[in-house]
Amino acid sequence: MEQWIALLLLISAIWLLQIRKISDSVPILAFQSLVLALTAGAMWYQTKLSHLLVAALLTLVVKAMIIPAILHYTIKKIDVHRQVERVTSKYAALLIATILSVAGFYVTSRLHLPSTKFGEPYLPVSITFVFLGAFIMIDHKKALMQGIGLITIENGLFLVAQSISYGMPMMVELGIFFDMLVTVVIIGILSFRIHSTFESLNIEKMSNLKG
Amino acid sequence: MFLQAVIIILLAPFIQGVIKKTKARMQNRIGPSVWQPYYDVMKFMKKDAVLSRHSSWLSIVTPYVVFVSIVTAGIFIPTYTVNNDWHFIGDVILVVYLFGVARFFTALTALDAGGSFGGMGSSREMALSAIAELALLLSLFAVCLSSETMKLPNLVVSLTHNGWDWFTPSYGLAFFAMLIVVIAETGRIPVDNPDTHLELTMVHEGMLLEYSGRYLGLMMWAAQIKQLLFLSLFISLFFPWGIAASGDILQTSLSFLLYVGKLIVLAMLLAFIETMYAKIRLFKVPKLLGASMILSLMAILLQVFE
Repeated sequence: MEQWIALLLLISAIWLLQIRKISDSVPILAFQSLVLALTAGAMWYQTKLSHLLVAALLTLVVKAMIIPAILHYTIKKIDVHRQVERVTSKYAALLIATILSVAGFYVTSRLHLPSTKFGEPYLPVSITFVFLGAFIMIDHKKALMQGIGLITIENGLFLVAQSISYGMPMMVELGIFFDMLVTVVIIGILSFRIHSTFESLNIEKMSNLKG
Repeated sequence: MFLQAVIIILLAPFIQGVIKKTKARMQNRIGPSVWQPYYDVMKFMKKDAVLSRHSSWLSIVTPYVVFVSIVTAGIFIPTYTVNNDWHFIGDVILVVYLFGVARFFTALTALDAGGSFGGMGSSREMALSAIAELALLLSLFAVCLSSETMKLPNLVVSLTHNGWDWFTPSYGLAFFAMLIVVIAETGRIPVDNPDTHLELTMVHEGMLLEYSGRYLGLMMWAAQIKQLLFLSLFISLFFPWGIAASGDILQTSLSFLLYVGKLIVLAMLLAFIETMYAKIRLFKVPKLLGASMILSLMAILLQVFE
């Protein structure tokens, strides 16, 4: 069962690279966070560690509801329903994503990271998440997608912590969730600002700012 | 073995008929009878063949080569029994390359008479098969890795012995990868439309335009057998349950009935997919097959590192 959930997560991360409109990315992100909350919930059920339940509920509320809502609101306000712009083509991105997943799986098999009993299947996927999130940030040109890549990286780190040591201490986790929320709000505000200055979200235009 | 070859040859037009009938019913048409492909083949066999004056011996040899190589490939694919005397000779790779031989001769002969559509059809077919063959092999490898054998009968035996352990993510991914390949290789709708003679759409049909009479009949029959074999391959890789392990008469006949049932269900599924989707552009087919390749690569990945 864990392997199927890991597979769902992997597919959702690769799917984020295959979207046609920016607005498509928000439901995928919400789905990804929902599965993530499910993993934390399942792990709480197996280990009965109460802070995992808190983490699962927080993931469900913050990452799967509030953050997609903020992103959705931003996209609706700026009205960027057009196609995504990326550096590579769609299929080159798919190929690179596959290579990155192979690298992620290979690295985890060679690193001999300590992993917990219930978290072991998630470990390769979580490392792959960090790679793919970084690749999303590099590949996309629209400013909003950088935030989505960041959230993917953060999801991967959450999963790493979960599979190595059943999650981080409570205070750290609360801090990270608050950070995430603030980051997304700032991404939203910055997107408004960038859009009102340049009439576009393309980050390449920001080099015009050089004096 | 002789019996299996005969059954494959005789069953193939029936499956074609089932697909056509289901498709017609889904489009609110009555459709031809299920037995219509048999009448077609018989009609073609009775007729005399007309060959172009410019064509060489290839045009006469190719229908036989194609038919024989496809039926030979059929001997290595377990259909209703795994009790196969011939499996020491060949494995999955031989099956794939026997199909490759048939495809090579079809494409070569399409150029033979010098018709313009033949050249177009064969160039399309070769361009697509360069990717489709790789996708087929990758998805086969993804399944074969789990039981560490490339011999189909051994693979089926180990799959049926696994019980509920077969339900792994890599198997699920390989299922979808293989489904795409089966649709592409049988020339069904998202990739190729087998029912039209429009120059914009045809891939396989374009190569058969120069044939007539019994040669055309043989080529069409071979295409139907190839379709049946791909469905059988799909069944024996993903739903092999109930296949007869021994030569017991009662068990074999039961397993044969089950096999025909599975074939009919799968044929209906194909017809359903055909009704749901429109044919995609030729330039998008490599991307579809690329998606299938990525799925099988991920399946192999999950298999190797877990």
